[in-house]
Amino acid sequence: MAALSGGEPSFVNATHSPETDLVPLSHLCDMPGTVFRRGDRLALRTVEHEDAEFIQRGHNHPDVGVTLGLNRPESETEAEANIEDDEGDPLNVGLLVCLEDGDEPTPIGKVRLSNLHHTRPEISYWILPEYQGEGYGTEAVGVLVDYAFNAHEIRGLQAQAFAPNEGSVGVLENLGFTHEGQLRDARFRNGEHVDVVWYGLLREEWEDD
Amino acid sequence: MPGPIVEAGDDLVLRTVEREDAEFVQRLFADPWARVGFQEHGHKNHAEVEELLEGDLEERDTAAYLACVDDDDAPWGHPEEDETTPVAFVAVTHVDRDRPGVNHWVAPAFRGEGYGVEALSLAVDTVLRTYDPNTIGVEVVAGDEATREHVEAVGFVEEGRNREVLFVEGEYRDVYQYGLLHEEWEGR
Repeated sequence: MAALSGGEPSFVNATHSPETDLVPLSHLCDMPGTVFRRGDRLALRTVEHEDAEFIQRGHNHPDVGVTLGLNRPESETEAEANIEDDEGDPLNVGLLVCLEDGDEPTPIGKVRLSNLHHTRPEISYWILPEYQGEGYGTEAVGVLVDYAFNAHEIRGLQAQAFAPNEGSVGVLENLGFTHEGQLRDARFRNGEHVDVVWYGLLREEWEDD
Repeated sequence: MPGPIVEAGDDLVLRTVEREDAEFVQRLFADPWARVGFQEHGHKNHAEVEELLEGDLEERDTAAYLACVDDDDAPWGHPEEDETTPVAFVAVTHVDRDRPGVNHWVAPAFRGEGYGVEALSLAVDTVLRTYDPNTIGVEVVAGDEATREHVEAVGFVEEGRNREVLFVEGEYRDVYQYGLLHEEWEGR
């Protein structure tokens, strides 16, 4: 809900652009935290203070940050502070998405569950551009949705994205989310006003799937 | 008592909300339909409402108004208790962003007089003229038909329906999303 909540927007990652002139970030990172939930190819791992550099680089990447609704640079100190804020907050769950195909896990993105006290908490996520198009977003968010419904007494989940946002909306539609609305010209990003699309998933729609 | 007039209409004026208006605003939180728009599922006591007035409602990006029926001789500035009657409360959040959100509530004793539509309309007018947002959004809980009528009468367009997103009066309720573009307001 908007109104007096005052939280920053947490838009899901929308772009689907494979090209990037940045180097892969994974090898720059320290060892991620412990496994919390596992998928077939991926694991969701706890976010550790050492992951601030990885998250910061993701958030500052134009193809990630803009689609998340971030409109200013994030310093490493800010990234660390955000991680610490989440640690003390029982209403938000952030997890690192890691590819588990080698000796060491490779962080490729992040998923987040926010406002767990709401009837329908919100999910958001991003995958580094160079790892998009492989179904990693769908797998990671699927594991997160499973966890959300199994661990929390929630009625449903919701997600928002900027339109057009084929990559991100594709993830939601793959997982059975229903398109619930399109808020016209609701956000300014990339030099223009864009629509915000809303998706929702109710518990029985997930369990019956 | 509310403070100076910031917007004047035919039957209502919008005045600033002062801290001593806590008692009026507190009644809103006894209304199960109105309070959910303010992110509250339960009631608030007087002290909690005072805290809200001094906290969130005095934030830079929040604009709150008391819609009042003024006596003919009510001053522009600070009216006495017998010179004006607050009938509705309007709060607009995130006025400095792309899409502020509006919540309004008409006190039960003053419903059915057209005050809801006029208060909302005055608030939209003053927000669009003062802060220059691109659009304004309103959320309406399914079942709150009076609010829905006000919102549609002002010209907001239904843009979506979030299913079972709030628990109100014993049921999970849908929430309708309404939006109004600046250009739609100008061209009305």
